[in-house]
Amino acid sequence: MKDSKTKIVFNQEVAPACFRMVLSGPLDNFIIKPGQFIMLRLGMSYDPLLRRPFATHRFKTPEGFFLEIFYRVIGYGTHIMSHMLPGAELRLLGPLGKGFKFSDTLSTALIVAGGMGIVPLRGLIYSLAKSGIKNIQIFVGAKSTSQLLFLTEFQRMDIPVHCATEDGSSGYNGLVTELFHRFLDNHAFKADNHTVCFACGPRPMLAETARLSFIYQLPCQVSLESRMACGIGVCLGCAVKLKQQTHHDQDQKKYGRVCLEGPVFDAQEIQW
Amino acid sequence: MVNTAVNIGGIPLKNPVIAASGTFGYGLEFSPLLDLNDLGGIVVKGLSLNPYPGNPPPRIIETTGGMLNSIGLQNIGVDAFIKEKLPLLRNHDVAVFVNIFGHTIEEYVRIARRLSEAEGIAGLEVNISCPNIKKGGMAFGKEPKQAGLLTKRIRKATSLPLMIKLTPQASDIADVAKRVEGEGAESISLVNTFLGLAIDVDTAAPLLSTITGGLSGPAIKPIALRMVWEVAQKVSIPVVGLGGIASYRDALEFMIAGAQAVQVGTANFINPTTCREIIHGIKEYLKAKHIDDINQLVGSLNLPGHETTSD
Ligand SMILES: Cc1cc2nc3c(=O)[nH]c(=O)nc-3n(C[C@H](O)[C@H](O)[C@H](O)COP(=O)(O)OP(=O)(O)OC[C@H]3O[C@@H](n4cnc5c(N)ncnc54)[C@H](O)[C@@H]3O)c2cc1C
Ligand SMILES: Cc1cc2nc3c(=O)[nH]c(=O)nc-3n(C[C@H](O)[C@H](O)[C@H](O)COP(=O)(O)O)c2cc1C
Ligand code: FES
Repeated sequence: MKDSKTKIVFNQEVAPACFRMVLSGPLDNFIIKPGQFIMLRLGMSYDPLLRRPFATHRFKTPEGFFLEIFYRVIGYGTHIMSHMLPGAELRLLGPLGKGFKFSDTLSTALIVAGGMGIVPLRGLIYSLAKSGIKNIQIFVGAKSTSQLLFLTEFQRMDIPVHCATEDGSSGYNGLVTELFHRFLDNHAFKADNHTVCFACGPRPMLAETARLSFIYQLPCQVSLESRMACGIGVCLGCAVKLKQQTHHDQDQKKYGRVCLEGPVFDAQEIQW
Repeated sequence: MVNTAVNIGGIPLKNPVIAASGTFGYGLEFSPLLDLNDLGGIVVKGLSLNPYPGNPPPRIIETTGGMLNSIGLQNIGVDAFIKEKLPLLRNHDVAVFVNIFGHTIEEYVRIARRLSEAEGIAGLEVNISCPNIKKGGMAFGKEPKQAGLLTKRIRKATSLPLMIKLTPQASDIADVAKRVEGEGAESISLVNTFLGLAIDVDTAAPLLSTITGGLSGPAIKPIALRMVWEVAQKVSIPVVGLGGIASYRDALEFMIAGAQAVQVGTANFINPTTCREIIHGIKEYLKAKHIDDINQLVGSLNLPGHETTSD
């Protein structure tokens, strides 16, 4: 983990209110695993004050290594980001947190994404495909077709994508978790650790995915979001409630730090 | 060579920059980003007698130029600190202050005793100012009498130097400062966070689980500075200033106002090397101004031609 000086080389809207930002910098030794994240300082002033957390993906071109961020404009900080121009310098802290895990015995990966949740999962999908995992099924949900990201990319990789939109403009008309539920109903996966769910998205969607994976006895990893100040485990601001593990800590509440123990957690660890 | 060494109530520091409690973990978390040996001191996260789970989320929210927090003093407890963290901190040449809090005077006394037996602690910072726990904490710091009583009892329980951390929520912070000085505190640090509130207008709900939280960061600096200036005039023990310090110029303001050292809190989140940059900036400033000892700067506020407001 280090704090590096990076430069914006690209920053444009790629879908409604969704921007792609590309950063250059001293990235040769910057190895980031799918699910890990970075904290970006948005300028040199104290407003906005805190760094903002983002998933990122490193790629290589003949000019060297770059980091790619996809972000949705939802508030003050991301609004300011959307107005930044190529050439601007941003401090970048990372890589941070623990990413997704999978082993050689994995044969089927069920990817469940809601909205921008597909962003950290995209890196995972690349890794899974590269490791030769044969059966990858992607379930993505969004408000509307225009907000479904990376579809052509996944199709080019020959990975089946099951879409759900809340306005019915493409795929299933409704929530991605409903679509996922139907799929599980129609396929008898064995609870043998060869099939694993990986999910990222809004909290209610993750809670439902956790519930379904529990019922179908499938291991499930979820990537959580939380407001963060430090990103390195010291402020304790990003806490999420965990389930009590033993009778012994019945009355002791337990919290985990999204930035350090997470952002990827075992779904059954979380007190939803 | 300029002298940047200061002495805070019997604790020598190689420079006056200390990382503030709750913003620097147990210190070790920052070692990949910063050489801890460069710092004057570290105040570790507030410790209680037993581990403490802290408050439910959401615990933080950014406000203009600052942040509200309601961590609720989540910590690993004094025994785990002594066993797991302190041995690693001892490998560094940096003054380690242990921040302590309790719900009762008895609890403060017991933690102080427990830490007195440990090796490698420069001093205790007694948090009588946390706004985020229901019982104890700030209750002690608002009342000069209570603050004095608590200081007296801890003073008897340990020979470690005591730095009492004051709350800006006290109606007369200088009064509290004088009282704890009278009861044997070696130094005073101020300020802790200011109680604040933020509301989500879309849901009309508070943005923190505990409704209110403590405000820190650049937004509080002018008020913290004014309080440090007021307190420094009233006491003769060293004052350590903090509240919104993010640059060497901020740090110098506190020292000119009368602080012998400063602490850096929220700024560590924004830029993890802030402390190092402040130390460097102070040295360059001293050189440029031909000041050979930083202690000459302390309380050097230049007042001729100014009037203090009177009513
Ligand atoms: C590990 C991690 C990875 C992330 N990766 C991405 C990514 O790849 N792309 C992306 O677009 N976003 C990502 N996010 C979310 C992103 O950090 C927030 O959207 C961003 O910080 C909002 O900043 P803002 O100043 O625009 O919003 P604010 O003005 O601070 O808030 C606006 C709204 O956003 C909500 N919000 C703010 N911060 C968060 C947060 N951290 N989690 C959940 N809700 C929040 C608030 O409740 C509020 O309603 C990630 C978050 C985490 C924790
Ligand atoms: C997330 C967070 C946690 C804190 N935890 C503690 C604590 O455990 N004990 C304590 O005395 N002060 C604690 N503080 C207060 C700081 O040490 C400091 O007094 C305050 O933040 C003002 O300084 P700043 O503006 O430089 O941050 C905490 C502050 C923050 C932001
Ligand atoms: S963001 Fe500070 S502990 Fe996680």
